[in-house]
Amino acid sequence: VWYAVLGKELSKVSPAFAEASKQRPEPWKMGVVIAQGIVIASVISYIIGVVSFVDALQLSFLLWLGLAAMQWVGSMVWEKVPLKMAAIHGGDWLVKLLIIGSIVGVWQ
Amino acid sequence: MSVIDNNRKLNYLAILVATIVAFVASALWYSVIFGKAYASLRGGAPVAPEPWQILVEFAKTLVVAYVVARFLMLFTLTGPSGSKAALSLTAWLWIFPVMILLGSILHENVPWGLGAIHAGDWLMKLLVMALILSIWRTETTAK
Repeated sequence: VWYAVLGKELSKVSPAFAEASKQRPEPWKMGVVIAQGIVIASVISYIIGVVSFVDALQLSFLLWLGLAAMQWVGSMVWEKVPLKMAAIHGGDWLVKLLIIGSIVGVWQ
Repeated sequence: MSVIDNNRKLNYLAILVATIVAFVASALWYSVIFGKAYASLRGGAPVAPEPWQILVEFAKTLVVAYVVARFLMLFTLTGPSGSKAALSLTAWLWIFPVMILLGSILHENVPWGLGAIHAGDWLMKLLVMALILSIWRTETTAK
């Protein structure tokens, strides 16, 4: 949904995404995306453990800040990745981590 | 008990030292160890970093060290401790940058070699930070 909403904006700054969005997504890539989601959810569940809902959200935010956001800051500084592209991908990670964190926090 | 608002303080001196060591190790990683391969994969000759890039990188490393310290504290509250916790935590935390880099390789056409160099840098930095923070355990109880 995130990339469907922001796909046009991402296409402006990412030639690879613009090219890929003209074609039907390759099944193996979709499989990898799903596998990534499962891995991330499992790791968050393991690292965060049994905590309250609010703690789970805060810890998810910390994970995003320390790992995902810093990865994209590095990409902007050293690889000249456009701010818009980093913001779209970084935002996707924030939403993903907060959703997974809140589910882990509630479902225990 | 909230693991966020527990009454333990972080060892900020250890965080600063972990930041400095990881920062220097990362600089060596991208210059002495993989400098040529990194420049080649980016399609150009090695370029000396600008001062503002070095400053941002240091700040970035500081944020990562702070987050590792927070999670190491949480980890040792709920699971293993010492170096075992550090190694275990490193492996788990490393999965996040690896997943991001994998996404860049798959969807943004970032070369595998470049992703591998960055992933190795993340692993080395996280390992260095977690080891320093776990060995230098002077978490004190707030009064």
